[in-house]
Amino acid sequence: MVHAEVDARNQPQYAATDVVDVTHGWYFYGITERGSLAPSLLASFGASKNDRPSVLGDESPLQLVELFGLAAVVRRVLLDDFRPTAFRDRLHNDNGLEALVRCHNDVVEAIHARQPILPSKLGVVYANADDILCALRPAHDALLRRLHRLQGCDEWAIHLYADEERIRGRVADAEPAVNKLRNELALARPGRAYFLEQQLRDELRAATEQALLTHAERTFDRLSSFSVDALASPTKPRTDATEHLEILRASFLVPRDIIQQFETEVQLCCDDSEGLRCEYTGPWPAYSFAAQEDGETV
Amino acid sequence: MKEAVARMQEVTLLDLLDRIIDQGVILAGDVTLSVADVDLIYLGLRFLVAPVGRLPEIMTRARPADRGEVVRE
Repeated sequence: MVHAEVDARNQPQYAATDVVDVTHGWYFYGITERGSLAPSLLASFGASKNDRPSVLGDESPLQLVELFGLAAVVRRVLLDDFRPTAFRDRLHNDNGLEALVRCHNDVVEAIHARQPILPSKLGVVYANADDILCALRPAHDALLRRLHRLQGCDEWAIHLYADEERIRGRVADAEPAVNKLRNELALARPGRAYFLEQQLRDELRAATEQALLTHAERTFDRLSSFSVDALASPTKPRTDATEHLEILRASFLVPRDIIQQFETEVQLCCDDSEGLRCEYTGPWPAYSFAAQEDGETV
Repeated sequence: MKEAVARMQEVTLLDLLDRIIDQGVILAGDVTLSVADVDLIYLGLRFLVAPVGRLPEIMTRARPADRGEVVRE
C-alpha cells in the first residue's frame, strides 16, 4: 500500500521511491472510502493469470493511495505501455480493446460489489503518488459526498427503441392536422395536390418526431421517479437488431431495495402496442454518476 | 433483475464502452499527467480509439443475439 498519511504541516508522506521512478506510473481505477477494503481483495488482482497475457499491468496487485477519508485504487504500470503508439498497437490486436475495458471494469466492479466507488474512465495514469494526492486534496470533501450518495445504489442502462413506421402510422391516424391535409389532398387538383403532398410529408415528419420525443421524455421521467439520479445521453444513429430507432439512451442510479419496482416500470414503459421496445443492462458501477455535479466545486 | 445480476459477468461491451470511455470521475490533476517525456494517452484515448476503426467492428460483435450477453427485453 502506498502510504499517504498527513503530517502536522498537512503535507502527504509516502514512499520516496514513488517520486524518482520515471519508468512506472499508477493506473487509476477510481476512488473509494478509506479503510474498508480487505487486503486479500487487493492482492487477488495481482494473482498470476497464466491463461491470458497481461493487460493493464495486472500481474501487479492493486494498491491504495490514501488521503483522510478517501482511497484512490491504483496499480503500478509501465509508462511505456501507455505511449500512444504502444497503446494503438494493443488496440489493433485481436480483442485488445475489449480485454482492456473488461480488465478495468473487473476491478471497478469487484470494489463496487463491496462498497461505493467513483470509477475512473479508462486510461488515466498518474506519474506518481504525489500527483494523485494533489488531485485528491482539494476535491476531498466533494468526493466523499459523492461516494455517500452512491451508497446502496447501482447504475442501470436503458435503451428505448421505437418502431418508427408503426408510430408514424399511428400519428397519421390520430393527428388532426395530418387528417385535415389528407382530406384536402383527396379533393385537390394536381398542382395544389403536389403542394399539399409536400406539406403532408413535412407535417407527418414533424408530428412523428414529436411523438418519438414525447415517448422518450415520458419514459425518462417515469424511470427517473424510481432512481436517485438519472442521465440521458445523446442517442446515436444506430438501430437495434430489428432496425428500430433508438430514441432514448439513459442511465439511472437505482437503490437496490427498489430494483424490482424499477424493473416493473421498465416493462411498463416498453409497451409493444405503442411500437416501443426496451433493452437494459446492469447492474453497473456508477460510471455515469461519478463526475462532479452541477455547481459542485472539485 | 436477479437474472440480469447473474448474467453480469457477460456484460454488454457497447454499454461498457459508453461508460468507461465517456464517463467517470474527473480530478483536476488528470490533465497534467505526462512525465519524463512520456506522452500518456489519457485525454487522447477517445480520439485514439475512434480512428482505428475498431468500434464499428466491436459494435457488430456486441450484438446480444450473437454474444448472448446481458441484454434483457
